[in-house]
Amino acid sequence: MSALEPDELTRLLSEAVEPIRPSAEAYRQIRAGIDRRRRWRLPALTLGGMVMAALIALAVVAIRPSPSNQVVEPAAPPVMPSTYSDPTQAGAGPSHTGSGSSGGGGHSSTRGTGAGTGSGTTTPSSPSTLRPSSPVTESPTVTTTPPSPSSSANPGVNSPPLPTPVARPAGSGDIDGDGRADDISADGSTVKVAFSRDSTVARVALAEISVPLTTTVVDIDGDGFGELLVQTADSGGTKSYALLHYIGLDTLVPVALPTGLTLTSGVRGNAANGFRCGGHDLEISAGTSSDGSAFSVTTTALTLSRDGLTATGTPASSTVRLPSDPSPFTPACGSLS
Amino acid sequence: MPARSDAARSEVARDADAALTALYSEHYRSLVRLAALLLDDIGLCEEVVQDAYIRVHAAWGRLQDRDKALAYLRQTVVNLARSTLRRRLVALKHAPKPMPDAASAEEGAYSLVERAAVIQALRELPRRQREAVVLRYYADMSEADAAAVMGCSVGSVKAYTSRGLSALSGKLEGLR
Repeated sequence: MSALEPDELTRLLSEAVEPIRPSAEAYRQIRAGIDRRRRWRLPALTLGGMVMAALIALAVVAIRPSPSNQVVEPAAPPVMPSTYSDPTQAGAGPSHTGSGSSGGGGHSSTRGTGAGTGSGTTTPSSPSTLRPSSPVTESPTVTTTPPSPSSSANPGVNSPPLPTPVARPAGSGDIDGDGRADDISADGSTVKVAFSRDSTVARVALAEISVPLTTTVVDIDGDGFGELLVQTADSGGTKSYALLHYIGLDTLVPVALPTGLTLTSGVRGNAANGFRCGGHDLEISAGTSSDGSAFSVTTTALTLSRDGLTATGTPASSTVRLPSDPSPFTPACGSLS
Repeated sequence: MPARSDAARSEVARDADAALTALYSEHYRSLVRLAALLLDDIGLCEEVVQDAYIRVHAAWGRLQDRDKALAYLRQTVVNLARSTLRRRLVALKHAPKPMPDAASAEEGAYSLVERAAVIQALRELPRRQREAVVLRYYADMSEADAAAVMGCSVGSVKAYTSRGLSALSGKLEGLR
């Protein structure tokens, strides 16, 4: 087989298509095609643009998530340092005794930093129990005691969660609501509570603590968690107490009282004070006398909440003659009497 | 892109019309014959070439080098022939050919072409080999130009041409 030469192939191809003659109408058909294209160009472009716009709109509608599908994450709570101090709050301590035995304030995760009157210090058993400041009270008036940086707390989103109590009201000696009594002790001016729920020890620094340690646990607000009353001073026939409120897991904070009220008991000259725990409130009585026997008594009912003690209703007035009438100037809460 | 004035558009249109007329008178016949060698159906060759003229005329304002209008035209013919072959591939294989009507002068010429042995042999080649052989030995293009039109490398054109030439030698042995 001999190879086909290129020149021969060119000749064969030229001869093969030689019979083809263009049609006479070819040029006219080309011109007609050009006119047709020119005529339809603008409508075709317009239509194409509209189709493209419709497709884009459809794509946007299809891709855009509907508002109901949007997941809105709640804002993270603000990070509050444990030493955060709210200037609107102040630790309130009994002003008449001068002992500062019962004060407002918060707790701090740092032991011993709660300097000053009524500073609360809680030392968790492990670093994982560190918590931001907890609420103590929100007193409408400011006492003479300035708040220390760690003595005030802001109740709110950073409060540790409360566990579920096993009974309402709490049982005897039960602060953390687990149905078992918690161990209470003192270390100098610091009261220590070993919670039976998780064996965590909470420490709350007070101005002073009476020796021997006198405490009682009573569920004042009936929430299933007992409040701790600690006798802080005993001088001149008057005993002072501090009230500690369980506001969250392993968290105890001192409770501040409204201005003018003190958590004291006893008669001192012509002035007398006392308190008693009611069904779901705390009643504080303050009496004055001109002769040391007939006392004009004003009793204020207080309710306890996470915000602290709040006076309810109008203070009741009465007259008590001692020693013939039952004395309202005693601590009638739990085992205290 | 800056908007062109009506005068400029009119000038481009006049240029396109004049170029179209010149290209038609000089190259239409050779392009129809080129399409006849590329297509399986010679009846479509004029349609393909006319479509190529229309497209080049529409794109006249966008041509970068108007001196190469013939090259653009040839490439358009090859591309359209390729597209036509692709679309009609299945139909050409399976659809029965319709019976011809009364033979006209053109159809008589087409019949002559259809009966040519080299055309029959050319149609048996793979498409790429056919394009390379036609562009090189009928359109008299260089290997580089053929490669540009076919959209492949020069080496591929050489290979396609060599294989096509070898295949055609065997098929056309008896004619020589």
